[in-house]
Amino acid sequence: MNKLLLGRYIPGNSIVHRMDPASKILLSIFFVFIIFFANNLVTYGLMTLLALVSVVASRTSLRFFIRGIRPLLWVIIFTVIIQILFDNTGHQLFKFYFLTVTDNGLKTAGFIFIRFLLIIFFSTVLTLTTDPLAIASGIEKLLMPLKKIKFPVYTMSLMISISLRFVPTLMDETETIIKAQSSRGVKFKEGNILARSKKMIPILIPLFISSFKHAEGLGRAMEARGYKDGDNRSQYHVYKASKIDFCTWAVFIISGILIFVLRG
Amino acid sequence: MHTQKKVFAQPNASGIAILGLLTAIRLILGSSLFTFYLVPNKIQFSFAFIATFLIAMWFGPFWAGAIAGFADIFLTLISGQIYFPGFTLSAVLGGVIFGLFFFNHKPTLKTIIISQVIVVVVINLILNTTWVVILNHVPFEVIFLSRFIKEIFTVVIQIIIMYLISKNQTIISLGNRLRK
Repeated sequence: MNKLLLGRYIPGNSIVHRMDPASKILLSIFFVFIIFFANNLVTYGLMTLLALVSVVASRTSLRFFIRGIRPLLWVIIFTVIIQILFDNTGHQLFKFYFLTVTDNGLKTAGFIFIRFLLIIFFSTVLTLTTDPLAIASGIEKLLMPLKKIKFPVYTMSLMISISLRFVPTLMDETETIIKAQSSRGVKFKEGNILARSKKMIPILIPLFISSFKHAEGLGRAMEARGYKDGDNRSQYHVYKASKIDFCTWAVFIISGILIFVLRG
Repeated sequence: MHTQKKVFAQPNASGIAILGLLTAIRLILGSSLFTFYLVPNKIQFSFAFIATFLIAMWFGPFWAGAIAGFADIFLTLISGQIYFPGFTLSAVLGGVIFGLFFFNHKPTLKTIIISQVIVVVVINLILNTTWVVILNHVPFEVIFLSRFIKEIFTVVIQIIIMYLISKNQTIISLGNRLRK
């Protein structure tokens, strides 16, 4: 497994770790959906409680969650400043030339800051407790209903499995190509963005050739073993929704209803 | 080895294997390991469009859209970023647009420029800015301006790279092998 496929997963046996990946992905989407309806202290308080309980239930250190905020720090700061400066409703607190700060602007900026933190915390719970291969398996499971509209779910599913199997192989090959090009004098970190981008082409072309070679071999092996498209395929890891998933969904649905009832 | 002429055609075993490997390349190029920064820690530039462009050219809009959608969901979820379905829709549409332009059509500088302008205006500037506005609750105009400046730089780089890739003899011969 390499850096890409390891993601930020931390192995564990908490109740969140044991949940069905498809269920966790859907819960993350549901959390983002309901948080948009929170608009006062009570509803944001409820969402904070929900996120904190999830963090505690994941049994992972809080520093991983704080680390998750770091890449998005600039976006958060930018959004909060924009909110303070451009929401001119409510009582004026401060004015500097054309810039006005109002109480409503500060309140909305505060809520948006909390919204960001909660979404990042909740997304981090999913990332830290779910192996990337389980995430891929969860995505495949969520695609199943598309079978009804003739979407080639099994083909897509097989393709996803092949891609995840070959990510480490291709990453190793990419490293070898980069080293080979570097030994010939190519300096990948020098020059402007266009010059650096052009230097990517000598890395990508051998990578495509190599992936075609792998694919030809794999295709022949699949045909030799009697691959038939559209057939249901078995999986090594089978994830099933358990009582934990049903209980968590019940809590989230009740919270969602409460958000609608309690919003101002 | 593999024939892929219809837009919704189901690929054979070799086709699925090639799609799987191209998806792996799409994931590698879309990951943070292959992301350049135009402005340190602020404005990113990814090479994922190269893989989407080739999938679109060789397998059509359906697979280009489906793979771009999967890659968006997967990379967002494993990196712990905020997942928003709007960006998945944008990724799918980007793949579909490339597919409509380049599947069974030889890419020319003109078609590359037109497709890129459509992707930049419709997806990157209008749709993605709308998603950012919904997600961050910020005024459209403010975000639009900063995104517009970024897109001017990136679109030129993308057009040049797509053109160089499409004219590369190795890529052309790989495409011909697929059509045999």
